[in-house]
Amino acid sequence: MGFRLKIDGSGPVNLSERCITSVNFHSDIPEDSNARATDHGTELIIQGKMLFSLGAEVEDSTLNLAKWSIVPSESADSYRKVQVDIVAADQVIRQITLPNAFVMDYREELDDEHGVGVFYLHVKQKKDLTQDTTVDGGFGQ
Amino acid sequence: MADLDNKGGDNMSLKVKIDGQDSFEIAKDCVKKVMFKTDIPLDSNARTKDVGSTLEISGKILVATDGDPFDSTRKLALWSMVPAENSAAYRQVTIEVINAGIVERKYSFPRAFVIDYKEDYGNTDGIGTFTIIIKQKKDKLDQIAIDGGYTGA
Repeated sequence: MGFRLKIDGSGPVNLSERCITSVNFHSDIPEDSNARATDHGTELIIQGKMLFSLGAEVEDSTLNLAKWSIVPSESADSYRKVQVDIVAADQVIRQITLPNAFVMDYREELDDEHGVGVFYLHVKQKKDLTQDTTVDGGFGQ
Repeated sequence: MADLDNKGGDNMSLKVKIDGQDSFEIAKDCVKKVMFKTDIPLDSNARTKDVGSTLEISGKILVATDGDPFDSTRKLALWSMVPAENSAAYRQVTIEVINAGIVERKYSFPRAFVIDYKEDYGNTDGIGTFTIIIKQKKDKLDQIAIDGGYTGA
């Protein structure tokens, strides 16, 4: 099972199955509601490895993730389109798109043991635009 | 609280059906676990009126390779995103737990809505997993039906 992440904006990010290790989609709804709540959001958590390119031939796009996470809220660039494809056996099982996502949490961990660092990205669709989130899937890649 | 874990493969079949706008069934190959729970305040001193009912269904997100039945778990994700203003937010959920030709339990929640939905994917598992938590609309609690103990397919 492979994951592909595409983020548009001033620092585009394209990460492939070589570096992403897990994807988590969550429909965030208050658990104590007695009836269907309007207070509903969608979020994605993406974790992966920070692969560096030997000889610095290819730009490491996790760098753009880190830069996105520090964009101030005054900037229009703090909202970006995030698309994740989950692919297995030549099929796109899910194509999840958050067209106006912002960063909730971003972490990078590097140490002297593992050789590569890991990143953790938590993004959420702007809540008033939750309706624009799309979940597709079940088609060939 | 019933905890029905399908650990042994074919020994138990869990059939989940969701009716309403865009009816679908979740294939029994997908459903791994069903939990039925009655929510009652733990600090009540006498029988309370504040009773709710929850169903938690978790399972696998399978890849449809040649000719397999199409995996309908995506429709769960779509249901979880239906806004409260839309009547499709409420659907009928029926779960049948079938064991050796006997319907051990049949839960039906006629006015169910989603309170939590998660999909997890990893690069080590080969398949994804989903967890959906649904609740019966609290004022319609008396419409929940729990049957069981009869012969069925």
